[in-house]
Amino acid sequence: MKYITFRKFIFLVSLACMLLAPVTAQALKLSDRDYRISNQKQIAQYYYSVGNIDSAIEALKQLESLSPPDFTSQMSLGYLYHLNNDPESAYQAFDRVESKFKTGVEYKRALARTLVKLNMLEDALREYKWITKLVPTSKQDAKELEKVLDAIASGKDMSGETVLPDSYQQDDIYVNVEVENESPRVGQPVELSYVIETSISATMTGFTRDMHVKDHMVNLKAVDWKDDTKKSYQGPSFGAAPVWNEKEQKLMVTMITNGSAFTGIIELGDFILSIDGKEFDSTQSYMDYVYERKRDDLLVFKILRDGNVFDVEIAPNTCYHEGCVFDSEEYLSVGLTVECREKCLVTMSETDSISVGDEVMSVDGVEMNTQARWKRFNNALEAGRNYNVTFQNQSGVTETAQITAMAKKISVIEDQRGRKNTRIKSETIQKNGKPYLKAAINKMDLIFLEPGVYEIDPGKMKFSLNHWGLMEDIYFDFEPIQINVREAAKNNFS
Amino acid sequence: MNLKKINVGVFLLVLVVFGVSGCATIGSDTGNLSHYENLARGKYLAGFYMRPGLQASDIQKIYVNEFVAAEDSDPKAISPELALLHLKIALKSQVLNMGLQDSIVFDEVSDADAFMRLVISEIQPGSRQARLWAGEYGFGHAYTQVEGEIRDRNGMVLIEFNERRRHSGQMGIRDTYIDSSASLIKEMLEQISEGIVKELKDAVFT
Repeated sequence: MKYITFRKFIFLVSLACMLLAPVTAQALKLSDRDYRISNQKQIAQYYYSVGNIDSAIEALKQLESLSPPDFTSQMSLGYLYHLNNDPESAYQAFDRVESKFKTGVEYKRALARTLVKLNMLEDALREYKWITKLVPTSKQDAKELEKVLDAIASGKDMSGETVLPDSYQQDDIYVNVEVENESPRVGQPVELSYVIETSISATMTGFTRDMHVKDHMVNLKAVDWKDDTKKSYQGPSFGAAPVWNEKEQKLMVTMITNGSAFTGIIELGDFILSIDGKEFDSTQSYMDYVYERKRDDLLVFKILRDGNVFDVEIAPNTCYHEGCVFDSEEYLSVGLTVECREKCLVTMSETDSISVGDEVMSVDGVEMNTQARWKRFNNALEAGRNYNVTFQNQSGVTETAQITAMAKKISVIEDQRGRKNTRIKSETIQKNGKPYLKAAINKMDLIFLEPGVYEIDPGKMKFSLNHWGLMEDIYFDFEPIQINVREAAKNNFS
Repeated sequence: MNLKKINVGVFLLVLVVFGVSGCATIGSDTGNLSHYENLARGKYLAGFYMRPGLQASDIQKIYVNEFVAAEDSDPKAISPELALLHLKIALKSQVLNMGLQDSIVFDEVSDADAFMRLVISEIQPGSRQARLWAGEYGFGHAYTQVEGEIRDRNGMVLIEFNERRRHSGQMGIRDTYIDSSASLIKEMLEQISEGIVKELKDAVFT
């Protein structure tokens, strides 16, 4: 049996590498055209994410000069026209999609909705029938179809109207609220920010970015909290609801939330005789006592169960009121949020000189072309120091602006499960001469806007936190409000 | 050879007997109608009853004021609420197709002289697996029964009808890739709706 020597083996491996090197390099090489296409898509996506639909459309149109239209970009274009209340162009874009690509339900749905806006009801009806035949389990499509049928039967002009029923909008919108470093208090005017979440299909946008959670940060609106507004309970909680039992004249545990502080210690039907020796004569007296406690307070409960009395020590595991704010730490900021992909684009701006969508080129002469560089710059900020930012505005003009590093505050509060990792950054900022509040939840200060007017029911504020992929909800009482997202977007980001 | 021929013949017979989709029969007595015993095969519906002496001119406008669905359907396939929505849409489509939108209305009007109540008394989506494996022998078929009555302003029954349909999903072929249960229910509701509107057109709005 023959063996090759080690030297021969190395030689053969080296030879193979040399021969394969050009092939591998070619395979790995991203062509310049691909690079530019990818870049253009991302620019469109950025513009969309900051609510600048016109620029997003322009970016997608420029994409057509780089590559033959693909399904997602054409769909996105049609969708953006649709958002921009330009149904004719949307219809043309969708028409191009239909003539070139195999089309699915999402396409038909978008087309049908556009046709309704164009008052082409018979055509819309045909598309809806196709959709409901393919997806007979979709209640939403059936409802929209019914609306179209009703409009045809009554001869109603649907030009510019939406087929989405009101309930659809309300069901799918969550309004998130946070105020600077503290929860809303009765009788105090506070400024709130809203993050609206809608259920736009990710495939509708065609963007590659993770779009499955749609956080729509809408402008912030001052709301007066009136004395007669019912205040929700925001104090420490054990995740349970003891109710005053008239017959026994004791507090009885009637509900325990899974995973709450009571879980595994207190059982349903237990009577709470006292806490820290304090006895109660009503549910309210219990609530008042607990409200004054802090999250870390260990309370001694005297419990009556099956005739036995015993003591247990429990700490509240949830707390929302200002006394429970865990932490408040300062950080430095220049009031710009920048995201770098192919370009470093401004996604949030608190200065009047630099707008959302502008491209940051350098700071104090240091080129800004990666997220790491921007992060390094932010980490090295000095309070009160001015920095010269060179940027290219959306008209392509290069300008320089001076920005100052200012101290801001981050408040850390608990989420519903008592975890304090959830960070809510909020601050009052000036923009276009108006004060408003900016909030970022877990650094998710992305702005996605779905145009439309949303009616928010009073008392149904839901503050949704995306906590490691899990949605956590905190509720606040709230006055009825109407938010025109499109107007808000225009005011803020135009 | 003869045996083979017989087998093929039996097989074809089975296909014809069990495989034909959308068979309609008079529905069972569910207590929703007053005159089950008087129901007879109509021109388009399996069970149809019209009060003797009722003239076409007696009814000018029917207001469909009530839709009810049985609550015992399999919500995974189709919920009663969605089934009702499909029935409503199918009826509205048929009314529109036949130009009866002024005679059969779905919004409350003051000049309606008759009121229609529709009940989906059975929503049985069947079983996809059973249809796939033995749909040709009648297993796993989907069933739907719709009943309705039309009363005048005084509450007197003018017309009653019902129909129970069965769908084999083309002997399970339609279940090859996806569960067709919801589609079958929807189709049967559409067929029954078509029958209702055509029957009423012939009987009342001629």
